[in-house]
Amino acid sequence: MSHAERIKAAIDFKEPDRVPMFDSMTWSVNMAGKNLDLIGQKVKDVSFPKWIHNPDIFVESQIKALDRFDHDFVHSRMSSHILAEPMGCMEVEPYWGVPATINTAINRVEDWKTLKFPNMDKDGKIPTQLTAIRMLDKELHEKRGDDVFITGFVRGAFTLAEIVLGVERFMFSMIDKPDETRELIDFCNDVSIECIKAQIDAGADHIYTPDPSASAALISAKFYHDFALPAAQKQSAAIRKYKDKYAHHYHICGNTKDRWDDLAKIGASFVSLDYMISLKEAKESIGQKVAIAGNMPPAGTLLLGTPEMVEEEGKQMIRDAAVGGGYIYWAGCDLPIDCPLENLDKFFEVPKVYGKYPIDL
Amino acid sequence: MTAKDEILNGLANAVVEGDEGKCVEFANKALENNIDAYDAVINGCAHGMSIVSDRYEKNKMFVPEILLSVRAMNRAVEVLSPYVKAEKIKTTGKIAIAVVLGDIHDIGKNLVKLMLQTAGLMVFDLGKDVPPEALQDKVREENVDLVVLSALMITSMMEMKEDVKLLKREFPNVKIMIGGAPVTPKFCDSIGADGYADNASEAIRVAQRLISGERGKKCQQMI
Repeated sequence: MSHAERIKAAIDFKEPDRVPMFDSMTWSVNMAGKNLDLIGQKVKDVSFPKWIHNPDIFVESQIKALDRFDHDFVHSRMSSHILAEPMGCMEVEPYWGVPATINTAINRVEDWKTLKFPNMDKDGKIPTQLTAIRMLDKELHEKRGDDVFITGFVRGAFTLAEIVLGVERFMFSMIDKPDETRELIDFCNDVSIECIKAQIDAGADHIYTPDPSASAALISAKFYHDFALPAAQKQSAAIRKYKDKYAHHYHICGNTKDRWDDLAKIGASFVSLDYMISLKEAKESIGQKVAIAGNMPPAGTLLLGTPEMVEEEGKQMIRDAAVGGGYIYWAGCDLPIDCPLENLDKFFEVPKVYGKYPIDL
Repeated sequence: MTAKDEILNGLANAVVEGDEGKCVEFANKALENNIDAYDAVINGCAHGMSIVSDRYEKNKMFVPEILLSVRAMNRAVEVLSPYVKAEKIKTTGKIAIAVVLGDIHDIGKNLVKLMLQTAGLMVFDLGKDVPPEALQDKVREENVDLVVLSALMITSMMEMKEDVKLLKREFPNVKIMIGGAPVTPKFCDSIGADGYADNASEAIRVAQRLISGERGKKCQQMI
């Protein structure tokens, strides 16, 4: 089966040839230049800022990761704040780490009307990300005839709204000014949908929309239902309308068991779950309604564990969730960039060895 | 229940409910009934916050509701604090708290700080994105007993390793407690920190244990 056939079968709850795998995301920075020889060391050949500002280097490293690990998706995210930054948040770019925002774009929820609606061809890192997607599309889809899923990225609209307003103010505003909060989230959604369309136009097959601020670490299931779910549904519908029913990956961090019913209602092609939940339990519950992905502990196992631990836990994930399709193999969240290469090699080897259908583990 | 108990319970409940008006009302009632202001802060406000913290731990309260409780409690403390006698504030330990370099997510740190303060500990807040030198300076200047470090991101979590190494080299007696979403007890042990807390109320218990000089336990045994 090709990459896309494998993914589509899993999403359709059919058993593909083997369990499909999501990609190595930001860890692929280690594939840039001579970085692979410098894992764990302080000085790198290609720094993180250099990586995300140079589509040539970025794309080459993502393709090297794809060639080495043979995952079924390939990534294009330049920054978690691809939209928050051009909307007015200041961003810092550490030498070795993902960019972070250091302030908010607005101080009062009602000021959402003053937020900038970014120009997708000009503002921030959006054009660079679009260029990377076009290059991946040309190299992989056109030249190689590889239908690997090129993954675009925006934040979930609820989380984007939290970032532009600031977490404490956002939490208060949901209680004190719910109508204005919904207007802010809706504006963020409109911005995100414009960016999603630009990425699909550039050649993305698939959009990854993590929504960490909607986790139970911050808000109750009721707040999720009232604020985050409608936003996620709108975003998901827009993605699937513009592309197809395979195009949306919704991710949420933390323990989400109390909101699985709602997560199944988003409409996403699949939902990836963090390591705090039991994949077996998820498979028996939300996993009957929508395809799920996950959930090896990114820090505990992939960063600090051994290849033996990675193998054991990877096999267990397949055992717990892969039978009958509806499962995509991944970590609980983004892979730490300092994960040892031997752990990553083992991580992506497991589905090739133990994830062949019919599953017999 | 005595009148005093009723007022202190009323204050604690007002904090739990996040009701600013009731907090001010019960704080004033406490003063009118000659309840010691420090007593009202500790057994009313702080008691309420410990219930809040317990409920957060059990997934019965979440951050928006906690922030309402904090806002309400601050109103009560504003009423009471002018009447707290200085000698009553007994500090049982000095703590420096910070979000590590490269990380600006401070809501967890702010909650932990608040819980430690309401438990009567003296807390120096160094803020977010804090370089190791600033931590060392504060430990030296204030003779700090315990350093509390928070990180939300997996990337910034690795800064903790460097902080622990540098702090332990210069101040071998200083205890270090760590926490934050990606942090685990195993990670705590692997970098040589002294304690790990999973949430704000556990942070108080672990902090008190570390300050009182409990030694020899690994992070994984502390929870």
